[in-house]
Amino acid sequence: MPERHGKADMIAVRGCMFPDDRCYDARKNVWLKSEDSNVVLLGATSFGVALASEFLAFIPKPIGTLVEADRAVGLLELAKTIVSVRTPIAGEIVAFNQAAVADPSIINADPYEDGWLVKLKVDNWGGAKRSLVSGSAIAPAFEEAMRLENFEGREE
Amino acid sequence: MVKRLAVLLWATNPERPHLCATPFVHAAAAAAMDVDVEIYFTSQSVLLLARGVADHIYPGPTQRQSVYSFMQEALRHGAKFFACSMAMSEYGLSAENMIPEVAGVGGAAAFIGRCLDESWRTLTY
Repeated sequence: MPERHGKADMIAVRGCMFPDDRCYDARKNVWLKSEDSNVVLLGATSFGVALASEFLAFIPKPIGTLVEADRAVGLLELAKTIVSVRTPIAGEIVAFNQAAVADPSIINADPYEDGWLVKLKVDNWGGAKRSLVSGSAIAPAFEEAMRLENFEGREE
Repeated sequence: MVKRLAVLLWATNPERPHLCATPFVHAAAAAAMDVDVEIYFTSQSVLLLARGVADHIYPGPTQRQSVYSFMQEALRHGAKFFACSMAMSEYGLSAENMIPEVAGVGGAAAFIGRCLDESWRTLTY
């Protein structure tokens, strides 16, 4: 039986877990999940967490910022580098996770729920999500992303 | 949100390696937020652009990343490097003996132009 995450099944790829109740962009290492018809949550994946090791700071762009697809919604500071968090779809930042700003360790601890990053208001979520991966496409997309990063697996 | 940042390196030079990481980390952070970042190397800072210099200096006694790798990080996020022509002349630098990542020549006029343009923010190190 697959591991459960709330009502979702967890998909395991090289030790990283991906709940199947949302969409992903494996290249940008983010997940998106609709909150209502035109607001989506965006966050980091467990693969991103494994690559980062530890997030030291999360700096979102201001609320009200219009962000084009492939542009940054915020910044994550790691011990030795900076990583921009990029959205695969255009939208307006309508909220950011203040708890993650105050304590970025919750991104490491729970990237799929308490550690979400921003909320985006999008025009056409139904159309936009066709560019993302979901369901049975999740595992092969992240398998390829991990291969490109020479990521052998997450240590438990 | 301001979308452009010009960084002037003036006191940052190879003789003060402990000052040489921060400007590039800040530039990388701004560029990672989709800010257009230009870094102007003036005075002795231009020596960081000489071939074989920045990759042999380290910002701290336990630091494994060379100054050049911090510069690369800023470049990777999209920052552009400009060398002051007066400083190049003073220190005998030319395109032939500078690192290839230099985007062009940009000195006092270029940086002051950014300072006077309200669509830009500036930082000086």
